[in-house]
Amino acid sequence: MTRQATTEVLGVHDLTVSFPDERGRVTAVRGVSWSLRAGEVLGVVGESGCGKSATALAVMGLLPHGARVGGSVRFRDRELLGLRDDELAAVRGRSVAMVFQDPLSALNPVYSVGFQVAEAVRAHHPGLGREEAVERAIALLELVGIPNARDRVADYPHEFSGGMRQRVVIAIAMADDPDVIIADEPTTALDVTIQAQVLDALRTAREQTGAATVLITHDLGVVAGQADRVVVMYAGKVVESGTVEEVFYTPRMPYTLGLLGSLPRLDGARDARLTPVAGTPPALDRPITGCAFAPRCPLATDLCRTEEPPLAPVDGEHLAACHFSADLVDRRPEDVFPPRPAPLPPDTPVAEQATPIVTAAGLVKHYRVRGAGLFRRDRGELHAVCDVSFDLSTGETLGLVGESGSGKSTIARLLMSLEDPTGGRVLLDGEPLARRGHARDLQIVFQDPMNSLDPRMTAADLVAEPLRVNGTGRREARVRALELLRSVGLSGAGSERYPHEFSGGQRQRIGIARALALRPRVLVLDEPVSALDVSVQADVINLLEDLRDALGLAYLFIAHDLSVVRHIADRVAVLYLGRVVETGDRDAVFDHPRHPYTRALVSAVPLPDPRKERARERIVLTGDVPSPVDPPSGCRFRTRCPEYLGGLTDAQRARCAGEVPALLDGVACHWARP
Amino acid sequence: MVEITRAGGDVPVATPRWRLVARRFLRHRLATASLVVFLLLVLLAFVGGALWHYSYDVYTPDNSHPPSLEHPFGTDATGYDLLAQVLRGTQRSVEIALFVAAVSGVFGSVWGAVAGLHGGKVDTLMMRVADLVLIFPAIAVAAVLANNVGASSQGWLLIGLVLAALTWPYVARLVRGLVLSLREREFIAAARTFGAGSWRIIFRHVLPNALGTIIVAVTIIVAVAILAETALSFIGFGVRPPDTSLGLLISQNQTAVATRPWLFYFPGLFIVLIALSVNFIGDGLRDAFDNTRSRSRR
Repeated sequence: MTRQATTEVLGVHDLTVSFPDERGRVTAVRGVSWSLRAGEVLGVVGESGCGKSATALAVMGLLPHGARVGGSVRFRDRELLGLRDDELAAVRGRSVAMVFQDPLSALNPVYSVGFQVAEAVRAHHPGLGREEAVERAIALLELVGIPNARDRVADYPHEFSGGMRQRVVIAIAMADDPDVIIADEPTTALDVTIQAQVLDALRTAREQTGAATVLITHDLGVVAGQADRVVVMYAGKVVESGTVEEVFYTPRMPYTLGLLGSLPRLDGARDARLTPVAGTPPALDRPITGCAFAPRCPLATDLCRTEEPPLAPVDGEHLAACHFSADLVDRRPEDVFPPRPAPLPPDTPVAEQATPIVTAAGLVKHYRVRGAGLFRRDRGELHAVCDVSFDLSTGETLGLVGESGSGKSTIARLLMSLEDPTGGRVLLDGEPLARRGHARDLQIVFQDPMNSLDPRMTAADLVAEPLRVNGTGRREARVRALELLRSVGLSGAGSERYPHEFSGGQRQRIGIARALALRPRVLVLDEPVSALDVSVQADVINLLEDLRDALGLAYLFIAHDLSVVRHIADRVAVLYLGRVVETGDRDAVFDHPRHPYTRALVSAVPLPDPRKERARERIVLTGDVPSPVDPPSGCRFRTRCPEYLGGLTDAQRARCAGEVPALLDGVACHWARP
Repeated sequence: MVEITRAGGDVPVATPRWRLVARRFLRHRLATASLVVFLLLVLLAFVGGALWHYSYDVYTPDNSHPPSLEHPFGTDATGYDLLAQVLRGTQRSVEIALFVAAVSGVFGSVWGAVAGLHGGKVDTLMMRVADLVLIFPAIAVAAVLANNVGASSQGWLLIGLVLAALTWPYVARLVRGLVLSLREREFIAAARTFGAGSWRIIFRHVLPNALGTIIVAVTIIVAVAILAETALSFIGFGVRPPDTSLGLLISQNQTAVATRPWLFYFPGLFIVLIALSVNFIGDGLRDAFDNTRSRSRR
């Protein structure tokens, strides 16, 4: 991460990209300039639709047919725009390598992984023999952290997990020995512990090849830990750029400030309320006058609405595009973005009670797995949830965290009676649930509102439906639905629109209003904000907190994002392969994790704070989560456990393999630290 | 499209859904034109047939006349006025086709939705029944059944029933496939969580989302029904003289293509017009019910 010579290897100057759309042309990139210097990592951040990926595709000459590009892209002294395909192909791979979000489409499914890496090796060293190329491929695969690389070279891409595939792509990029690596959201689809592995592999690739890297991501934490310099994009333009320290500690553009303020932090205190940025990014299908951020900016004046601010230096190489960047010195997000309290529903709060509202007692869920083919032979059982117990009281939020395959969503479905448990039961006020009788008390908000809202119903009808189902009259249900929509911040004309006519954040608000319609006491929130951009996510989190406090609701908050859980939850349960490995008070679990898995999980979450992030000690787990069809005996975590693989004696290991650790005092580990 | 009118009190009332659908349908020009053509055809057949001074079952003194002012569509060898016959035939064909489409569309949709939503044994049983109907040699069954009906005045209704009984499995299979994918969507799970029952889920969530596909299937069945009726009449079972249908007219006059082409082409033209306009109306309806399309089409 040292800054090397300041020679430019890749320069983008006044780049514009537009795509044809059914309503005309959408200008996705509106004059972007940045330069990548030898050996550095340039982070490009922005929310969805800001043009960051279109920029990368334009650089690589990979834009879809019909796209128009203007401006200039220079690699060293060579102009790349306007090159023929075969000329570009020579540059791609040789000098510029790309790592995409979806590694499956970047690998050819009909060739073995070893062959594809060896191919790249041979393309770069034509003199090398077959055997030598394969040897080199194995070395590269080991370098990026593929366990047993020698045994796995003959495997095909589909036999690798997502994180492994991404590392294979990085190995191929290394084999090309490029001058520039462009990584477009390389870890977005991955779990945090896997993300840490991939980021490590990317770092190895950088160190081995000395390539400069463009790291495109929406995750400010990843940028803080990896990048030297940062470019912040908004609505197809660069709005701020500078070193990570400058951008993260002294942002001079309100959008950057808003982004940082809207981010829940794993290290932050909970009471610091998030400062969401109101509104949504502008549509790019017509020209924008003035500053594109003005409609969402609390500081905007008439000047902002009529005249576009240039990207101008504020301090040395720190650039910002804002008329008032001088006023932003030492301003905190909460100074600039004032809180906007929503009118809450005029419902009376849930009465406090001493006993827990919901109790999950020893929940078990197994699914039968059948093979394909005529006879659909039984292939065993998928152990989705194993002996999970918890309870939930009035006004309390229990965070359920875990990576994919940990059984979080299955638990949600069990609570909602969408699935029948294989064992154990769910109690409501101490009584077993009758299959549909609890409809009023327990409600759920799903992850993807596009999927959980019927596309053929209007917002008002959607929110009124639970009431209609439960026998409320048409007119009365409608009045209540409009009231609920108002209380989640959707008022007036919006009530007659269909889900696709809303933005992601607004859709999730409809989902929340619908869940509140029956005046429940418990909300199950299944990844309610993970499909949303950060600035919008903050708004929904604030709304959820307000509703909980005003109505005395209890939340079961399911998420893979530890920062969000730390922000909203009172207590936390950490799941691994269907079992609770650690549970307890939020601060205790996150500040002093006792289970080796929790420790690794917490250390893998990137903090959007460059100095802290770089000073942190990181526990990178090896390998992938084992298949829940055939989970490891004894402690399910032992195959990846740093203690088991490193610190323990053979006798201790035998206990890990032979005996399932009980959840004692909040930790399920035989050798838990006190 | 967001229009809120105030109707009493402080509750904004939405524009009724049918009006939104109608508005979107009228924006689809080809569909609107087709609807006009189809309505004119129906009007001509039912009102025009009654007013025209020749009846379909009365001989005229003119045999095998080409089209003229007296007989705009000409006459056949036995002296029937072809215009009168075509109008009568159009009545019968439209009645049968729409009846078949409506019955097999509604029955097939519900059958398929119930099977798809329940899955498991219910699904297997219901779809095997549908398969059983499909593997019947349709024309033979229809011929046997229709034969017993004879030429009674309500004969067309029974022919329609027989054809509907044979075509509904196509709709059922299509709808079931769609429901299998729809039922995995979370909005179905959401409806279950607040206590909606199966019938509500089917009628409120599944069928509205499957409507586009159902409409297209039904418009194809209209065309299929006209052709099936033609085939039945051709082998002598469907509609029988002196009553007539477009299919019967074509089969009666197929030998006249070379010598007296008007006898073949006029009924043929009517069949094509009906089939085409119904298809375009179906396209328009599909788009009109799909609120996500409302913006792109002008």
